[in-house]
Amino acid sequence: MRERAPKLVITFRSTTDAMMMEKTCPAGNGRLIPVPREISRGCGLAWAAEPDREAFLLQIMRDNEIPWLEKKIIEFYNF
Amino acid sequence: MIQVNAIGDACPLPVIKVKKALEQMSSGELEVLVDNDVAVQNIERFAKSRECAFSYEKGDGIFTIRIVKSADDISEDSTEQVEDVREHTPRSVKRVVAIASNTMGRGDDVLGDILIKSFFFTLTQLDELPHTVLLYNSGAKLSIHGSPVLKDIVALHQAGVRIMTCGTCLNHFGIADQLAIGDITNMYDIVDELRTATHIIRP
Repeated sequence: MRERAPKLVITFRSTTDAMMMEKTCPAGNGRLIPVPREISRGCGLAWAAEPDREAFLLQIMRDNEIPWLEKKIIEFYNF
Repeated sequence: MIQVNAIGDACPLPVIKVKKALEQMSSGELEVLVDNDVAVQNIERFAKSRECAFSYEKGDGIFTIRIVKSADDISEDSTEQVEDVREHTPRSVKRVVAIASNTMGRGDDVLGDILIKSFFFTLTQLDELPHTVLLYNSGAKLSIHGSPVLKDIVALHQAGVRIMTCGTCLNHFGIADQLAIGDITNMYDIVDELRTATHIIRP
């Protein structure tokens, strides 16, 4: 049985920023996904992670000067 | 001559139309237009079971079938035959995803790598998962240990999706011993999966 679970989704202004996030973020703290349909803004790629990683991810983006656009909790089939 | 247009009709509707038309004829020729081979086969089986002459021509995606009824051949109770035709009609959807490359699209492999990862993620989010994922040529690199999409392929496999990787391709790249998930397959199985698919998805 496939189950849905809430995930934190962060969008970016450009694919370059999204790719920088993938390059910078330590493994196990999320992944790149296509921007979900529920979000209309963004470059096409988003970062998805467990919601409890939010503070850590925001710090990572601050430290590495990766600008982000929007963050939202969205349900996905578990990944 | 009576004409029946069954273009665009899903099975078993073409057979039902033919049955009704033949029931209204005492004898003569019936012309039926359909747009798929399965309908032709089903109508042929039905017509021959009613001892009618059957022939067809194919042109520009349309099959023109000619059925000649020589006598009042249709029995009153012909429902059973239509039901029988239904049983031979592939009614369930079979989606097969054919992955021919370890990146998606041409032009920029870095972008293609991101796109193929996005593609596999999105596959895992479908409410109706595909029946099979076929991986061939450099697509075979996606089901081995260390693949950037392995987690998604494992999730698909665990959800019941058949993962089939081309053995010739694994051997070509020298990675046959690195297969992480699914089955090693051959061209006969690949062709059979594609042949029996109702939908083929190629990123």
